[in-house]
Amino acid sequence: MPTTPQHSSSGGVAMLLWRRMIWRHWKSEFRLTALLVGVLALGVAVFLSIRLANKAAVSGFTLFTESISGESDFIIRSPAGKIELEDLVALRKQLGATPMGVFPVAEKSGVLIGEGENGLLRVVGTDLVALQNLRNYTESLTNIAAPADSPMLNRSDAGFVGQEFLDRWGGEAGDSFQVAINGRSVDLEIVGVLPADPNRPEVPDNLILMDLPGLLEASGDESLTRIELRIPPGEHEEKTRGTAMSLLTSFADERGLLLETPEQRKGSITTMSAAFRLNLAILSMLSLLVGLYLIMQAMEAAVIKRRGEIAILRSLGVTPRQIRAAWMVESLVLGVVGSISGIVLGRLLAEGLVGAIAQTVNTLYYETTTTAVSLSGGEIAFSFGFGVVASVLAGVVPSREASTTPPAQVMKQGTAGGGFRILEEWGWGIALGVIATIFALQPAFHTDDGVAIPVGGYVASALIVLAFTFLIGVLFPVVSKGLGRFRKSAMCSYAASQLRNPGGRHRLTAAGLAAAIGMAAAMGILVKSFESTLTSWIEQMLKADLYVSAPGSNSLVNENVIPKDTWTRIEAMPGVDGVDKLRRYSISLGEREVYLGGSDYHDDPERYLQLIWLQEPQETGPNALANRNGEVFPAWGSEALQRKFGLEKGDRFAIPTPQGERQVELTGVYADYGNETGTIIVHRSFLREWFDDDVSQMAIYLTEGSAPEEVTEAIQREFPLLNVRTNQRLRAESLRIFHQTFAVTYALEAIAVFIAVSGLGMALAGLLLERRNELSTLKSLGATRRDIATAALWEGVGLSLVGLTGGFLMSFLLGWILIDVINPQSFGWTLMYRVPWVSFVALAIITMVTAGGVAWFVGYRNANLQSDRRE
Amino acid sequence: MKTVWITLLIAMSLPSFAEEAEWSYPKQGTEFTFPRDHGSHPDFKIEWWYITGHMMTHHRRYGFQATFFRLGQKPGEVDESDEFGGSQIYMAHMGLSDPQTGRFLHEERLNREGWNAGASVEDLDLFNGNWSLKRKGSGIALNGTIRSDAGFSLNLLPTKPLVRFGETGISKKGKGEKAASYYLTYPRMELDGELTLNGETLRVAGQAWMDHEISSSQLERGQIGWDWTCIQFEDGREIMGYILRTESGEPSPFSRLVWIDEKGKLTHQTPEEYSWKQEGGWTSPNTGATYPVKPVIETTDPKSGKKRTFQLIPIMEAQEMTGGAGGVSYWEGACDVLDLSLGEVVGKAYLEMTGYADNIADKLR
Amino acid sequence: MKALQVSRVTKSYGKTTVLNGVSFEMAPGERVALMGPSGSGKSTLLNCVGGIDRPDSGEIRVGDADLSGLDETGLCQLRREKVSTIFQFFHLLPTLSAAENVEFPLQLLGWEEAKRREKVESLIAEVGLAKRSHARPHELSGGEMQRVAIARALAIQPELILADEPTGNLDSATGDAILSLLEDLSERHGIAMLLVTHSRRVTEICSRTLKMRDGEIVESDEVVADESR
Repeated sequence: MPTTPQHSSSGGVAMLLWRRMIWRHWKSEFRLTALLVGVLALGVAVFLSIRLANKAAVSGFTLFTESISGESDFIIRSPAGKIELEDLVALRKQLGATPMGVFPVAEKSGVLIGEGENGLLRVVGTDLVALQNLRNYTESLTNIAAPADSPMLNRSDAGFVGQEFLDRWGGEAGDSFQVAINGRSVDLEIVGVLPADPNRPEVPDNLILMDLPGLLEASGDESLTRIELRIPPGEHEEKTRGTAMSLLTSFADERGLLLETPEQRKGSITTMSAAFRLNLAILSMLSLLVGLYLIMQAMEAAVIKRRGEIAILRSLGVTPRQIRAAWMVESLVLGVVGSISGIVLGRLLAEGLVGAIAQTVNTLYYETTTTAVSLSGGEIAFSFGFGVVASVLAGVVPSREASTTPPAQVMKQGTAGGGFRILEEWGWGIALGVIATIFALQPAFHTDDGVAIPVGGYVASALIVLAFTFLIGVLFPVVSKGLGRFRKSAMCSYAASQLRNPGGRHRLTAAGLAAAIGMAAAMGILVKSFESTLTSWIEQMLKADLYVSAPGSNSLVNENVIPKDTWTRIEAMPGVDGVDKLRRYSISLGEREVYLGGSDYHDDPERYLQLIWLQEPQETGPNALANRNGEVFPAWGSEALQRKFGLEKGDRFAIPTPQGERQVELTGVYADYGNETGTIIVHRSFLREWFDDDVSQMAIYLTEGSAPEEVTEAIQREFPLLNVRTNQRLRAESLRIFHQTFAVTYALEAIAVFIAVSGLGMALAGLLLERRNELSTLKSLGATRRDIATAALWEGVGLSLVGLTGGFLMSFLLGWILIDVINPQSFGWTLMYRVPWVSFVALAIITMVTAGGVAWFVGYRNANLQSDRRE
Repeated sequence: MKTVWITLLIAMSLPSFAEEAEWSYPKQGTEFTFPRDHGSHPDFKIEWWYITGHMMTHHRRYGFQATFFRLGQKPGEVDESDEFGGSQIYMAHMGLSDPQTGRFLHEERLNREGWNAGASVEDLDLFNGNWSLKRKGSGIALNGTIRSDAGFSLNLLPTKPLVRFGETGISKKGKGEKAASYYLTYPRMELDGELTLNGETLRVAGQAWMDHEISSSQLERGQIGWDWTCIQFEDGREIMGYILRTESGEPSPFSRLVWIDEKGKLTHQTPEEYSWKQEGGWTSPNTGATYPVKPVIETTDPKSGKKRTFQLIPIMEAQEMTGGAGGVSYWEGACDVLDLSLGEVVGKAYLEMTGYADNIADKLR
Repeated sequence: MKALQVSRVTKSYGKTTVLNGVSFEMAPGERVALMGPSGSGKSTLLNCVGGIDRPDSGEIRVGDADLSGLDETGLCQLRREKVSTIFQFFHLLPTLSAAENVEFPLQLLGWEEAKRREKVESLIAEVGLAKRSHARPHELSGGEMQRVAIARALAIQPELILADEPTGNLDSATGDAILSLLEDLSERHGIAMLLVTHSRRVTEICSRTLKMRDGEIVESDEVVADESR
């Protein structure tokens, strides 16, 4: 018998109860407890790892390549992409006697000859002499090893790389690499190795640093990419900043350049991937939510099982509040242990995820280097708090259940199930559903940076998951009846009877399973819809026989081009009937990066860029864009452009070009799933006037009877640096990239299903355990072990059927929200709604089989357990 | 962080000056024309324009130094349209001594010929980043800053004509034919302008000294550095004197001390005729070098024929330019000139001591 | 053929001997009471007869079935076909209605639906619960629950019914009614019953009372004073 508690405080009694009761239960049910902790840990781990990976994947972007000078105070860029050298000279003059560190930077695209897409390089050039003046701006100094011998200045054939580069490609300082910079071949000598600094991100393994004049010469392009500016430290730093600001602002205005701070720049760039990363973060939170269900039902099970003991305690004078306190301690301790394990696990998971997320960001948005995943105190605290709060929340209802146990009731009813009665109120479910719909119909919320956050969509999703928790009870009688009809055996009927009037535990288990299945299936719908839309878009867009591009044009920041010399020769090759030449530039519109592109349309009306129209222009023929209206040029815009800038057909706006601003009028809006950035299309003849005569891509139409493979080979042989792909290969590659992009989503789906099924298994185990008395009754009626296991199997199958049905129904709704609300608002894509039926069926089968299997196993094992009966 | 490999870069990019390219060297009998010869001489390897001076406000005094160096990589013409030249490297130093607070502010820079530094070949017109030295009418405008801590904008007006050191018109530093420099100096200039320091901008006035040396080799083997001074007496005369220190410990016979009279007439003295005693050691906490910051100089006054003994007393002891671009440390500081027999201050000076921390010879051979 | 034959059954748990050479017989349709203080081995004996537990030595035959020759499956079959148990705490399946509880053993035997329904109806009527056949156990009183249990026990037409304190959880009036019912059914269907009890009232419907102490039987034909009172 428990001793009379000495303290009357809730805390003291709680600890006593914990020590004598709860801790002992955990010890005796070690595996269950471990599984419970494991599920919470997994939820926290997924949540944390995605947060960490998100951060690490994009934080590297601005740090090394973007800011050569460390933390620059200002950056000058050109909206049309290129800064002339005379601007640099003028800047120095304009600054006069104002102290300012000026660091010009040029970045060109390059490629390691022979490595194809794997060998893409970023070649950065800066004034290496001026750079050393950084010592006047920063205190940090570390020792380095002795340098090599040869001088570096003005050399167009020498560069520095990081150790990471040499690790990847082999070699050491002094070796030479064959490199193509802007299409020009260079025999580049590695003159030295950039030392690593533990406080800074790794030097990317595709970076080459050259002296600026050398790079300009090697690339044949005398323009700069940006100018970085640093205010020297000192007492009147602020005054200098003030003077500098006004000087620089007027300078930028006069010359049509942009003046930014690094925060703005980083902000505007990471904004691009913000939507994507936010979606990931939300998904990760949902995985924690699902884990929450499991914890709730495990705690609920414990309450029911220990009701007898609790009743005894109550009869000894322990107050309801003390009981509740003890249970809250239990959920708190679970939360702490689970969160800590989750943090450790999450840290490990993040390492794996960083690569995947960075890959996606690289592919979709911009080149990023990853920093090492760092687990800051803040992240630890946040995730820990999240996990503990989730666990404590999960314990609230069960602890209330426990505390409201009256002594007498237990003696009469045996261990009848109770709890979560509220889940029978399906009225709540309807109400939540209605509210969810209202939220789903809301427009997006726009942050200051212009990121569109579909808050309504997210809230609606969460509400739908909750709604189904209440509504799922409706399915039980249906499944129960079906089961009873399906097999008439005693055990099946018995199992069906269990499901006929489901207790709170059944409901909760089914709800948790439904939530996980719903989420996983919804993501499946999203991916499938995307894939189908993309496939048919590709079908429509890709009509040429061959596609030629400069290396790296998959990645959206790459600026490799096909020089005029090259494309004229390709046009003249045998087998080539017609060529569409496409060119694309990155420009700044407002505070965002968009694409400005154009194509030469072959005169053949069958062969011009066929777009899928969302707002169709009056004329869509090849020369529709050639008709300028005085100083206003017609243009087509992609859907993303239209959404991001709130444009409509007929709107006019200015775009920056090296020749100055030009006015364009939006005459049509088309669907573009190739990227999330907005695109403006004008006729290429204008682009040639404004920019240059290079080409980004060529779409080649072959003469009748030519073999695509042969022509591909011919082109490739003559121009080994170019990417040449047949139509078929291009499609296959596009899909491959697509799948790569969704790699993280697939992982999340798998995790959700795993959590769901383990939860189901746990719940079944718990359910059977609490029915031990019934088991011995069955045995006394002559049921064998196998019979009992069979009954458990059917119950498991039935339960999973309820969860699956609810889950799939939920997923159709969630899928609708994802596709028609969240996606368009976040990314600006209109997708077709497609359901991956085959995957769904497979998922259902796997889940039912697993559930049945686990149930059978538990039933079989527990069939021999002694009941609680006494003499 | 970048300073890490910056130093690497510089050491790598500057070739050792031991190459014997086709550099010109100072010859006796060369005539100068001005203003062209105030400008740059890219056919010579090493050139500098060096200004030191003393600024005064009502109650405060400051010492300053501004030096613009040119280090040639390739002899010959400079392509002024090339934004990133490889033929010339420009180093510059700025220093400011504030004895009121004991603060010594300094900044060193390195830039290549082109957008961020340059020196005209037609006139005195130099810039390095935002620092500049430019002839304006009969005066010279000097603009210097030291990070965001200090800045000065000064007009320098020569009050005595330009002098050219060296008995034969070239200042010989060693035995070799090429071990010499053209050494042109404005021994006295008036200055006025503005000084920004400690958050306030002050009007200042004072005096300055400007050297312009052109050579292709400064030191010979065996020479490890020099102690040098420019003294401006209150009676309107000046002294420029130095000893070239050698490995043996004895001053090189090419050391000189030159008196400049009121009219600008020069009297050269060889080491037999003057003595330079190193006194007063100050050890730098940065480089660990010990500089004799209070030298005693004994010389015969050509006017009176009498021996005079002066001691240079720095206005503050910590006036060392540490490493920085180029990696050379030296002491350069404003001093008062104490006449030991008279026991009073008779003028102001700047004292420069090199080669105590690094072996400057390797850098300047 | 005897309904039950128990010969020199011994059972020990560790060092404790619970049954020490117990032997007795029951004729078909005979009702025998088994009494004794706590720890005397009554429940253990009942479990051995029901095939839930195995004796260390000795023989038990139910009808023509020798329990020692049966494996686990065989014992289950025994419980399905020949031996029913009635418990002090009723032990109905809570999710099944009264009728379904009675039906359950028949389902186990694989009876057709129609036949089952017929049998269940008649059994329910026989125990007087025709109006409550759809109620679930938690809606029934103690006496009603025990009636359902009895009906369930009868469903398989057993050769032997084991009853472990059948009235232990009922008030005396209800208990009496249950005992009358048992007596009545036993007579009518010719089913032997072995009733473990503390109650003198039970002995009144039995032809014989076996008294156990320390694992052995002290046989007595008369109703003895209940020493546990």
